[in-house]
Amino acid sequence: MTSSPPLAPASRADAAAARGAGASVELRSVVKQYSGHTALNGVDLTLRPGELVAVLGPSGCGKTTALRALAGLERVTAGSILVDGVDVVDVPTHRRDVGMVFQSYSLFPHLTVRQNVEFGLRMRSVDRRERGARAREALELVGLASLGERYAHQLSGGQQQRVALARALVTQPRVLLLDEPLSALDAKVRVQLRDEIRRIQHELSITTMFVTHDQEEALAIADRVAVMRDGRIEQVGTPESLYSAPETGFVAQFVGVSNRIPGEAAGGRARIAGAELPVVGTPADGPVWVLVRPENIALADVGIPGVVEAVMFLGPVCRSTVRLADGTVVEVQHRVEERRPVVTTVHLRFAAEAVAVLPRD
Amino acid sequence: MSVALRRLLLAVVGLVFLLPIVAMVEFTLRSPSGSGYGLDHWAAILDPERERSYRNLFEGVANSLTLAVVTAALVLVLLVPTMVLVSLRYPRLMRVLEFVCIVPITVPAIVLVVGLAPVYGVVVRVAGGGTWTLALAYGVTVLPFAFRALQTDLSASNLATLTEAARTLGASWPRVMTTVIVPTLRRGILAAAFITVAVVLGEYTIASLLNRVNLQTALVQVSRSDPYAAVIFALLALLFAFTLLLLIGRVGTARSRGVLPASPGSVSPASGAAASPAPVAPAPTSKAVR
Ligand SMILES: Nc1ncnc2c1ncn2[C@@H]1O[C@H](COP(=O)(O)OP(=O)(O)O)[C@@H](O)[C@H]1O
Ligand SMILES: [Mg+2]
Repeated sequence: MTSSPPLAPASRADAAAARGAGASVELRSVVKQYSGHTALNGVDLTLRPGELVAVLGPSGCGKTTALRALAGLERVTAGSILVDGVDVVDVPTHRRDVGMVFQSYSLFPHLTVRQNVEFGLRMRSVDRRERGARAREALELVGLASLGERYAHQLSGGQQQRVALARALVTQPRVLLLDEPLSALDAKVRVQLRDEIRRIQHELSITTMFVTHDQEEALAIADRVAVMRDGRIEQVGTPESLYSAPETGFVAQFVGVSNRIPGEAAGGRARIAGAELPVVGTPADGPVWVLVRPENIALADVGIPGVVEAVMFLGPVCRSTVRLADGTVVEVQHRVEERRPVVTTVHLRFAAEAVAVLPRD
Repeated sequence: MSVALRRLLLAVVGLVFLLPIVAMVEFTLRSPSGSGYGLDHWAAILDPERERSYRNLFEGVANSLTLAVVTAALVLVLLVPTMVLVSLRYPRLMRVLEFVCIVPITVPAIVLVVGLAPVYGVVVRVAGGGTWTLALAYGVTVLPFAFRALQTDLSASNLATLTEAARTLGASWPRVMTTVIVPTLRRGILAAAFITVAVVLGEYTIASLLNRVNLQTALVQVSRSDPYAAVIFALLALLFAFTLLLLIGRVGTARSRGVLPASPGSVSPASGAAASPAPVAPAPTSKAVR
């Protein structure tokens, strides 16, 4: 073996001391080019110690590439990556001290669950007894202590990803990287494991980057969400701020504010189709797109008239598509009892909530 | 297809394969006196008095076993890292590699030998005329089989992700190779090794045309003076190859049920099985003589 890497704290005392601190991570103007194609086009992103940042964006926008650059699995073309203030771009993957859970199943097929979890400790020459104890602890953390002697092919998809999580966490890495770890699972397991990842991440307060293309997942799990588009970060913020004040149409659409209504901004208020609403921030006066959430529009007896074009049943609520007189189509969320048949005329009322606006050319 | 028809077909096919073998066994059991059966011919093989007449045959067996081991080692050492590297780093080159590795199957042995004769003139001058040098030619002829065996395993496992997982967990490249890649590809590696051994043990044309002694050329020679011994050795070689094939099957099914011992240290029982009966002496001695 060439050189035994100085890796994570081997003793439990050191580890306990390191725990709770968490590392800070900073990507500075990271560029990654494949032959003739730019996957990352100047990514700036900071993760505070112990924070969970979700990177959200459509398929192909460079999320995985960003994560792999941080793990050292991809060499960056330009820019720097700092972990606790130290540039790690020249540190090979096996010495970066990151834990990673992959989108596809990645358990070693020739090893049992316990041996899989012990793998990282074996690479760090932790002795057999401590290895066993720590692997058991990690498996308990993900609720699979009883399955240690199984092989990967004897586990369900959700169980495999749990083991992968335990394997990534057992070495107490400085950073945890999750690349769409839930996308291969079915809906129910997905929500369950999502909440569990959040609980464990909180418990260990490990700095975590969680990549996903699912906005609901990102908003539910993250301290902050970074929305990515075409190799750049478009906006970073708490889930609430992204939801209530998206800075671009792309972000608005991606985090689920579906209504973009043409209007006019004037003196800190926005005028749309006969209503006037307070505005988030202080936009310049002029033509704007007004972003209104479906749950902030109600069906009423009087108000802005429109025609119901479609009704969608969503369980506890309904969502109706209504075309206004000027041709604008809006989505309205309301109680199931309020639903009206298609083609009937209804009246809409906007809630007095502040709305976000975007300049309209 | 009905069960009865399937059974009938199986029986016919079994008979076709079994008849020659039964005939061979019957032949070796014939008594030298010309009537009745006995184990005389089998005993004669082990008779020290007759050792001289079988010397050539034993040398052929030793040479073939040596060649089998050297060829398998050579092919695996060259092919496994190359294929892993190509599939992980340069996946687009896989087609080129495949073409290069499969080409030998399209070349008839006789053509190969015509080309090889002058090459071996050089090989003998550079590396000596040791038995093992024939492994270079054999390596080329088994390449298609070994490649296919490895490729099947390689494409069935998501080696790229496994490798990356191991690296993020702190494994350097050499450790990734020994703790993840080789154990993951164990089935393919074993299959490639077994097939190589089987092909090398059955090889006649190249050895004969290059005037080398191996199991098959020795068998042909002995059969001229002592057909019984030739048939006995042919039977033994058949048995050996059959055992190897059974082992491949065993390894395959054991793995899919996940009951293999998980220690990645336990590499191939193949190299063990092939190596233990092989007196590896001939190669170094004949080289030292020169
Ligand atoms: N090895 C590669 N070679 C060339 N292009 C690549 C490679 N990996 C990714 N890309 C390209 O980089 C872009 C970003 O990919 P990726 O980070 O995987 O996106 P995401 O994870 O957001 O879906 C895509 O357009 C993809 O085609
Ligand atoms: Mg991806």
